[in-house]
Amino acid sequence: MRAWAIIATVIAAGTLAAGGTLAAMLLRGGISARTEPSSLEASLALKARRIALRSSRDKRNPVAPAPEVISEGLSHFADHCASCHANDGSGQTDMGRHLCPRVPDMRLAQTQELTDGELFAIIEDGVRFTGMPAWGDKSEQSQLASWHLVHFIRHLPRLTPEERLQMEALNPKGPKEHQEEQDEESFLRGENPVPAKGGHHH
Amino acid sequence: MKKQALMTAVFLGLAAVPVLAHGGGPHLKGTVSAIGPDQITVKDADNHEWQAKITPETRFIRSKAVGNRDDLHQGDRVMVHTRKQGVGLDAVEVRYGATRKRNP
Repeated sequence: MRAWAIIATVIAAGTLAAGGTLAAMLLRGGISARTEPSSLEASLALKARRIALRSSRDKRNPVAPAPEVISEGLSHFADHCASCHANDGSGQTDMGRHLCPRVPDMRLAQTQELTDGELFAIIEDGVRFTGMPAWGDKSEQSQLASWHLVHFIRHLPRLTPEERLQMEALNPKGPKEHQEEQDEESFLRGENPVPAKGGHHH
Repeated sequence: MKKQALMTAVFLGLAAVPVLAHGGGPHLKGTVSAIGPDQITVKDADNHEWQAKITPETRFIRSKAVGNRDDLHQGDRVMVHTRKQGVGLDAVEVRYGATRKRNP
């Protein structure tokens, strides 16, 4: 009976401490995404992710690495991922810099040290409380595309300037961006003079 | 009348339009008035000069292909995408045409 009382007290104290920490975090920064998560919050979140991904950790990539696989992953990444992660995986995009938590630089150890299985699970199932959506639909086709992406993520630290340019051509663009691109090219070719004053926003 | 239109076109063609990019620095459109190892200066139609720092991360793009700083010379038309860095600007990308188009 006494042991149960001790366990109950410990659980209650833990719950109170966790609640207090959460309340302190909310009071400090509210729900605004402007401030970066504190080191404590980031560390807890990374640990929680590590535990949550435990079942995927040992999953092996069934696709052998090959240039055409990297190329598939490159195209897919440029089309679906680069708007947040940037073509080079640095996370230096408008969205990447302003999401909370900030989008990680995927070329660094924090991402590169994840196993293939963990990367696959993150792509397929997303990560709750971050901007990472669940891209997978559990179909064979989607899983194959995710494994290709895992190979491409491994390739990111060695991405060449030529590959980056190739990706830029594949990035989704709206009509306004197309127009801006055309105006820029015309200007650089010495055609279509641009207005002396004025501007556009990206 | 034709001459006037032509002169206007030339003037407008010389223009460097510093425009604010969302979340970043302005995009400088104009001609190179100076280029060194660490800095590029772009001149606009009003002869206002805009400086941007060249960093190891600055990319030079020559008509959708990888270029380099040595391709550029005074008078070349450029579009410099910048990022605010302290009180100055860092050149993120310097874009220019395949065939050099210089303004007089």
